[in-house]
Amino acid sequence: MFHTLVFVLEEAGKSIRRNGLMSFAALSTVTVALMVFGGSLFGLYRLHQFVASQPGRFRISVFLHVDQSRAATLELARRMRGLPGVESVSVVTKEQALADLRRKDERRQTNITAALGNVNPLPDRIDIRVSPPERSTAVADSLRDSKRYPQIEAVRDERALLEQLLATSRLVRNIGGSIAALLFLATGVVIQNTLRLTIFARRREIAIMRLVGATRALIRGPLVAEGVFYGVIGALLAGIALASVLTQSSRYLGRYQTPLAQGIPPGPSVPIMMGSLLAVGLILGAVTSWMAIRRFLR
Amino acid sequence: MRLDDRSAGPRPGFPRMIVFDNVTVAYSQERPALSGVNLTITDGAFTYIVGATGAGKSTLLRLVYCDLAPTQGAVIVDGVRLDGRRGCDVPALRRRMGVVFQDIGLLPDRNVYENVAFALRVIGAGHRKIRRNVPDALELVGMVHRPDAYPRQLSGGEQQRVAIARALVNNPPLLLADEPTGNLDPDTSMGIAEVLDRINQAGTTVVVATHDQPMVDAMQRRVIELSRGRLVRDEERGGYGASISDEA
Repeated sequence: MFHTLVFVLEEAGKSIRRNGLMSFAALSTVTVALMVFGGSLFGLYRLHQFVASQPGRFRISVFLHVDQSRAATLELARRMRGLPGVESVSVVTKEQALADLRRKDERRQTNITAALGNVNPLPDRIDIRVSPPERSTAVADSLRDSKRYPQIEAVRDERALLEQLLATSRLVRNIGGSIAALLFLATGVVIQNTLRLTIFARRREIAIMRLVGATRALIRGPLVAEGVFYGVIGALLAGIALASVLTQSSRYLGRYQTPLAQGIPPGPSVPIMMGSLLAVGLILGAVTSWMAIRRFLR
Repeated sequence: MRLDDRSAGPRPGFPRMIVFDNVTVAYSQERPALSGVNLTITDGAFTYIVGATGAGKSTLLRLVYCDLAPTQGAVIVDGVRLDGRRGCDVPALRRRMGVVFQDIGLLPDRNVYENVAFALRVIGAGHRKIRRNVPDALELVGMVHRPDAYPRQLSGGEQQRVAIARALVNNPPLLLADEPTGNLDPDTSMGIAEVLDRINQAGTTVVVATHDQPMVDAMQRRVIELSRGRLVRDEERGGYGASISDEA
């Protein structure tokens, strides 16, 4: 067993060294393929994160009757916190609402609050965030039941926009997932074809091994080890290149932060990205080299 | 078992090394490559298989090293009935025989010693066995003085000797050679024939498929002649045969 393992590793190492040009071609192809795969996957994941974060920014606004007492408002807010799916509840009193309106007046240079004189016609409001956002419509509908909630005057939930966003999020997730799967397959095919070339260069060795009674596992061993080497080293190089490109570009794009981009969860960290890429490289290297050898063992 | 441990003559238990029982091989609907062949090669024998191109010599050898299954009939090698590649343990069988081909030569990026040792390394042999067997095998084929030479530094005959050493290094009881002198001049061919004879004297059963008339005539060993897939002559001590012409 020990001799076999030594043989497998030595042969893989010798083959990589002896076929220098072929090894370089294989390694650079694997690196570029994994860079394209990793970069595209990162882009798709960030797009998905962005789209998926948008519905979470929506809230249900519940307007109470103007004549409600503050105590009744706070009691209603307390009841709402217990509703299933409700993540957070915040009370906006009529005084706060009027102050907000004044600020808007100043910003927009309008005179709505001045026209009101000393009367505050605004009601207390309760803002609710729902998680997951898909439950938003059900929560809003239950609040519209005037028998259970006679204190409520109106409920605004912007359901049409929310549903559009949720549909977009699903679409991005599904299309992104399909593209990622296709890219994975394409990367696998590229790596397999490259490894097939290196195996073709060693066909005489394989023929001799078969003639002298080497088992299939032993013939595969050095070639799979070689495939794993290209996969792992290619992933490492692709990871380093991607990490530096993404770090630089996010630093550059960071200067152009828009309100739209705020609140998106942070992207995957460099160690996680590197680890995932290494795992993909390892799996692709092993599986594709295993498959590439099959036809030479028939 | 060391090479010099191998005594001449049949080994007890397996007096019949190779048995063909009414073997037919048909690659297609056309004329079969082998048709109803019956033969027995005893342990320790030296046998030439002769015949024109396309007579079925290589097919016969392929059946023995289990690269091919008979369409009909049975092939028994060293006591094992071979029912085709799926049915037999090919690696285990091939570790009990050496195979020399004209077209599968040496690995160009390894020296003589490494080429011979390669056959032991791929079956998981340890360093001690390699250090012991490789010089023995090189000694037997007369190449022990050039272990560090690379194939490009060797003549055709020397390369073939190394290929024979590689086939023998695991001390198999059976050696198969398919046109081992195919590209060699007559003198070099005779040298290879003598090496094969020496190996046989050490107790190994040797089966050689060949076109090499001077070699067969000079050695006067058992000759099996095939023609169009049929066994047409089996002489205990014979020559190449005057009537053989290419049938392809």
